[in-house]
Amino acid sequence: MRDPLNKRFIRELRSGIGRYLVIFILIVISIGEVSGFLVADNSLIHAYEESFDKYNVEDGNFTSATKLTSQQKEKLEEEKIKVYEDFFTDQSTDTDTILRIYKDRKEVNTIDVLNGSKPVNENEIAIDRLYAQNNGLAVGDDISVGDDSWHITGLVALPDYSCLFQSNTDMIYDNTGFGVAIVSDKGWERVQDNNITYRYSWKYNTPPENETKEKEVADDLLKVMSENVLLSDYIPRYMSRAIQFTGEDFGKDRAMIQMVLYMIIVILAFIFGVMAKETINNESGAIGTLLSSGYKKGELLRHYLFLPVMITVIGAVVGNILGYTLLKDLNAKAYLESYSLTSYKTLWNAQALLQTTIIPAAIVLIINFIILRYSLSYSPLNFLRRDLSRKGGKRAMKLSHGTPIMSRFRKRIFAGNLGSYAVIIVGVLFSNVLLMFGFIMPSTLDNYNDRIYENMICKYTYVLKAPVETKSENAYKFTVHSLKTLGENGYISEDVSIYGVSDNDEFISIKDRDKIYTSKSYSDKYHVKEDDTIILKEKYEDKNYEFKVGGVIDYEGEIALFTGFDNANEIFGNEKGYFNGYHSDEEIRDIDDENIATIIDAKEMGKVSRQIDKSLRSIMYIICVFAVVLFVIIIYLLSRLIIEKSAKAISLSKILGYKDGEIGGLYVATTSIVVIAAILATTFISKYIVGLLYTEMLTKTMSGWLPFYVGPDVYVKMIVIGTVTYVIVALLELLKIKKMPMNMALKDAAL
Amino acid sequence: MFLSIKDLKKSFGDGDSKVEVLRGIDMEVNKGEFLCLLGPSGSGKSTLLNIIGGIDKPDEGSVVLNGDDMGKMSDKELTLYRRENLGYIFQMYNLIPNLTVRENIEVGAYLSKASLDVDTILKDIGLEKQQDKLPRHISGGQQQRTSIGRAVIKKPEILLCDEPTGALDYHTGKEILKLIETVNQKYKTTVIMVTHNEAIKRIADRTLTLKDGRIIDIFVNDNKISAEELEY
Repeated sequence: MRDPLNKRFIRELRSGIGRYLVIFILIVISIGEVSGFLVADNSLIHAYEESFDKYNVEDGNFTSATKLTSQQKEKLEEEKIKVYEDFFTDQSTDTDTILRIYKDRKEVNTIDVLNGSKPVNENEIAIDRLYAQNNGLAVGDDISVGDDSWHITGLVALPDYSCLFQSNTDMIYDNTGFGVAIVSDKGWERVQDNNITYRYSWKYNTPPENETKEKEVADDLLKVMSENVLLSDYIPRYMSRAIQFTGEDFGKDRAMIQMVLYMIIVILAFIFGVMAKETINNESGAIGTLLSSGYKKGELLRHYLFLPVMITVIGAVVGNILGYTLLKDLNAKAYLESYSLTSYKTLWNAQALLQTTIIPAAIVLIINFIILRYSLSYSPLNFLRRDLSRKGGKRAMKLSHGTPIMSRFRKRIFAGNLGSYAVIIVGVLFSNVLLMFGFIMPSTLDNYNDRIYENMICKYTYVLKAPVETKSENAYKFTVHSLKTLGENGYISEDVSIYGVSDNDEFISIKDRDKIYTSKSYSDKYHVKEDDTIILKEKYEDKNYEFKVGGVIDYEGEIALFTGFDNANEIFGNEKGYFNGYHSDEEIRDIDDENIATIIDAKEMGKVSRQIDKSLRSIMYIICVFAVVLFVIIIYLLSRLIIEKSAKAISLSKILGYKDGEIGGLYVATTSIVVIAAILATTFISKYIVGLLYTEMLTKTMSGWLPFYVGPDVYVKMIVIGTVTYVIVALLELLKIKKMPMNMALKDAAL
Repeated sequence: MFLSIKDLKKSFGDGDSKVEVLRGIDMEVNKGEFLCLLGPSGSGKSTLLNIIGGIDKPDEGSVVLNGDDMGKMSDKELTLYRRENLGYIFQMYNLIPNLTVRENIEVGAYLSKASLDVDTILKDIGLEKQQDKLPRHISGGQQQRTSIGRAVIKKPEILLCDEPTGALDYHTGKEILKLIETVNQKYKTTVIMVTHNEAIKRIADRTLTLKDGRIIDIFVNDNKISAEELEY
């Protein structure tokens, strides 16, 4: 015979429809979003990984200052590689963007045409889909590049530019200001007089067995290349950010979003647990009767466990259906707005199903099992007597008789609901961390933009290809050498400029000219302080440098080291007096552009924040909305639970003659104090948690540094959002108290 | 007349499941009187008590206390009515579980501008030593004493008692009755007590017996005995 208690499930659902529905919706949204994300992520990453073979992606590329001779090429190919020309030219467009034009590739890095067709005629061009989208260009449009006009025949994806980094050393990609394109052989003839970059791709004849081997082979190859080619760039595939960044970013988001889901499920599991515990308290007499009649505790445990687990499972199934349909495309769209990916197909993802169904259900099952097992561990007699306290229960907390009774009453309510308040505090903290995460990037970026000039050493930093003198006054020579960080412990390897500054340089002041100083950005990002040791490596040589830090210079614009002019030249083996740059507050006009490698000015610095802002603003907005929804739901469910738990006492207070306002002053005010205190405290705690996550995120995903900044407006917004949403919840609770019937105090709960 | 009830009717449910609980009650209560409402389960005595207490509303009829018609009172006025005039004692004590004995009594004191002294009440009900204990740490009798302390500390005009000894053993029950009797005599508080224990009518001034929602008997006690003398 079926357990007659099962008939209660529908009734229990009906009686608590409000709270169960809210939890169900939260589960559906959370799991739907994560499922959609995982499916999109999996499908896209599969397409991304498949693209390496499908489009024969290079094993690396190098740039030579001159076109290779056939002897040079043969010499290199003796190293068991095949070298392919992959020349390009960077051209400015009429919309002030840079378009990198390649000749159509036939052998390596072949093109995926997403819309339209490949260029055939001399004036035809196919451009990157994402660049086109961001610049409002479509097939059939014309685009002015340099002195020429081109007709767009297709939108394409270049598999070696899944992420549009113009330079491998760029802090961040810029898919609006930089794009790639291909032209036909005839079209290439049209541009080949224009400043061609002699880039070559290589493929290994036999691919290295693993990543370690690949690095060894690449290091060996670099030695040979350095001896035979005038190298200006050398990027093995594993170091190419244009190729690798996308794949790395896919993986990182996956771990983070799953963590967020599991945190939400843990909080919901505790809410279920608190609800079930409260039901057991209310139904203790009936439970005692059932246990006395022969029911086993296991049967009752399964009974109370059923609804939470079933709601989670059904929520997970509905969430997954949404994930595979509606939300998959939304998530894929978010990726396709950041990355220039080749075509993809939706793939069934069994692992995602497991992660979004079995694991959430297991979390709810385990947490509720523990809570219920504890709650049902009393004897039948204890249940019958409604005495659900351990060994006679805790003594009453001592409170001074002199304290007003209402104040003591509130303290007792707080002490009696510690479990619920603990979940509220954790929930508020979690919501606030999410909320701050949502607010932090705009704040950090605005701060960065506001302080661009402050963050610059001077208005113009010129890095030269060779020492060239200037007549410009107030331009101070420096020598700069670029090294790389080791890229250990999951951190990315990034470029570090070591400046040797002139004695009279008015922009940078160095106490001891023989010591190495870090910029504040370096110190903040890598947690380096005075007397620490830094090890950096030469970019294209197997050589490491060890520096002892002499101090930190208050400069946040760059990941850089500073030392005296002569000391820098000595360290890097330059001739005495060698220089390759100027610091100046005025534009230097007497140096030819061809002698200038880079000019760092406000425009260049602004590029970084623009791209981060563009790529993160929408996701940050979604995080904020989600955080607010989560906040409201957690507070609503738990404060409602506290009211329901105290229903009899509230009803009794009404009978005794307490006014609704006075009762609200006891029950809602206690929760209000806890919630407001939690909002205030967690707003500031969130800063530290998000600060840690931020540093970790930037160290592992981005070169360069954006100083973490929480503007006063962020605190104000968070506190106002938290308080306003709570006020709405509190009003609902006051309404509930007002509607609570007095006869509840006269009733006895029955199963 | 202190309390006057006329043609009071009350039913629960609709259609076939409609149950008429009170079918026209007429009664009057004098100030300071000890009145018993006697009757079997389902006779309507608790419903009548709840209506007098302003917890429930009648379908028809009137309840007038000191000239004020409760039927014409808004919810807020009813709250004030309970606050200023009534004290409640329940069969299951209904103490607030997370407040101590003293605090439960203070909850009653808070409602009155001229409440009695808490320490005096604690002494009167014999719970000075237990005042800092939670209800679950004291006996049923002590809990009911606390409940009485909570009710009387605000010096109510009427003390409504719903089966106050129903959950207690004989001796403890008798102690509680003695305490209620003391309150009635010491503070001239009108006591209306619901019980199904016929013996208790011997300590009351008057007893109304209810059956099926009607008063079927009125017993005026000319040979009232003290609770101390009562045996049941």
